[in-house]
Amino acid sequence: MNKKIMHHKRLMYKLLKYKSIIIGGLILLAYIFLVTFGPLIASQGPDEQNLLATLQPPSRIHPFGTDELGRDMLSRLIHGARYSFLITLVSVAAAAFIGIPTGLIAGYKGGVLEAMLVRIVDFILTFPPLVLAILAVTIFGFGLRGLILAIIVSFFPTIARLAYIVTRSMRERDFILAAQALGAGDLRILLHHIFPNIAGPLLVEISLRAGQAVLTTTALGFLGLGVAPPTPEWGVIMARGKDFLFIAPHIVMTTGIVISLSVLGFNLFADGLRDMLDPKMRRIGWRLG
Amino acid sequence: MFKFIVFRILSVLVTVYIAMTTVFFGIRLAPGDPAQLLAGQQTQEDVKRARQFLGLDAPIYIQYLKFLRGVIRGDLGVSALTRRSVSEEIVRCIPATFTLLAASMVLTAVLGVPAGVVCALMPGTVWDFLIMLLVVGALSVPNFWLGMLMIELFSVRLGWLPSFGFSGLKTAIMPAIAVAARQVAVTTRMTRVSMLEVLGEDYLKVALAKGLGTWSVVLKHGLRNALLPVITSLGLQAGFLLGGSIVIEVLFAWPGIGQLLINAITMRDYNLIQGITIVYVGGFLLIMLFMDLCYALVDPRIHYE
Repeated sequence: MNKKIMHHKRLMYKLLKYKSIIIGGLILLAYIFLVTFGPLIASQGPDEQNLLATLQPPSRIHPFGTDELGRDMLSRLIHGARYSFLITLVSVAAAAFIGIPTGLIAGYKGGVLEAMLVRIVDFILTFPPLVLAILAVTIFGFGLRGLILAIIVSFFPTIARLAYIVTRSMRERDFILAAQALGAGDLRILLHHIFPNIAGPLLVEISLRAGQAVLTTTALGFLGLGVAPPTPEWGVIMARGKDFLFIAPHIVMTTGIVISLSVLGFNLFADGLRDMLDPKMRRIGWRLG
Repeated sequence: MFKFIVFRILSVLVTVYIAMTTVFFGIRLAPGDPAQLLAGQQTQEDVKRARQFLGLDAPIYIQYLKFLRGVIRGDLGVSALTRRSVSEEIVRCIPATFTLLAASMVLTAVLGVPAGVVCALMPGTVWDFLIMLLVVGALSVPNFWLGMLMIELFSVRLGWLPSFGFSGLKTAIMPAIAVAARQVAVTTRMTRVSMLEVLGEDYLKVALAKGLGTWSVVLKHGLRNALLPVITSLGLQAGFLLGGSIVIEVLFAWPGIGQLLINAITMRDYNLIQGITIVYVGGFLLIMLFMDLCYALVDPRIHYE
């Protein structure tokens, strides 16, 4: 009991020391709050038009201004957060759900499975990242479903590869051999002995991937390959805002800030986590890199 | 060395073959009918004629064999979009994309490596903190937004640079920065970490104790060893460069392959999509090969057998 409290205290101390986890976590919490209670905060519906107040710069009634159809930018961005976070959450969770077990099993079992996984992953990674997502979304079809599938396909290989590499390095370690000698089954070894040891690096990777997923989603939306307008998806809003860059730059400005902050949240969280898990880096300067 | 290069080029060819086959069947299974798009709002007859013109009325395996025969002869078919040969279209677009990528690569090396070295030489100082802040920012910002910010500032407000198109180096400045920003950030970070590690090694202290000048020690003994992981990461990150350039080409109306790909996808121009896939995958693999060769250049211990 006492030991447990000590452990928690140490963990909190560690967390406080790594400010980027705190800052990143707070940013993400703010977004999660927006996504959950968004419709209550947004003053207007995302599609509510007011043609008498188009392209207005930020004011007290419209803190982020209005777009070309007089829709409230803040409301649209809040609703957009729901799309981005839904897509990110579902696709990255699915990618992890596919990638981690395949990597674990291939790394632990070896043999044909290992050879096959390495081939498949290497093949998928010969496509430049965004090119892969663009081709995948073309094949799966534009729209929410295609977008999510495309991100799963482009992200699971790196997660699987990481899980595979770390597991393989652990396969021959003494504590695994000892567990085997004591008669532990494969499933027990994988879940109780290997997984806890690789969970940290995987969490870092998943957090980084989530930031990437937001960027990929908006890029595809910007290119017109994601969800279709008038859905208030961030990339779609950017693409429309581009046409009004000269006369109403606030559309692009506010959208960009909202996108970047969310990615920053994921990145900071991942960076802080990595520093915390890697004691070697601890002596080196500032924690932001 | 020679054997190694031949082997690697062969494996590039095999991978490109698998990639183009995957894309060939993938896009034909995808929703959307190019014949319909080509014929527009026309009668069934027109759609049928368009399908014939595109060679899509044949069974899929015949189409595939025809495609393979063409590829072996260096003929990628005709673009449905422009009715010109696909290779011609791609060759027309390569200079623009190449200029953009080359400029981004130069920016990455010229900005990223020195910034990383500066950080490593004075870790924990304000400079280190500021540069690392910029790095984290650059990694979180969508590149097309960065491009728009630059257009807003340098074209609209200051009027220094043209906001779109490709005519000479001046037009390449903003697109190249937008594409390179991420790369520069990653390179700075890699160089910093790698350099910090090397600076802690004993042989550097020995070199200093021998009385060698600080700069000579830092650059010759430190940087050369620190660059190895940086080069590896540059090769891997080249993929992000290729991908990122697509979005930037669309934003700046840059007449490159990326924009061609997006146009091809909206029109379901199968031949063009296939051709561009070959260029991207092949190009990416060749960059990786080139990086491996650079590796041998920097590190005399590495010999490829």
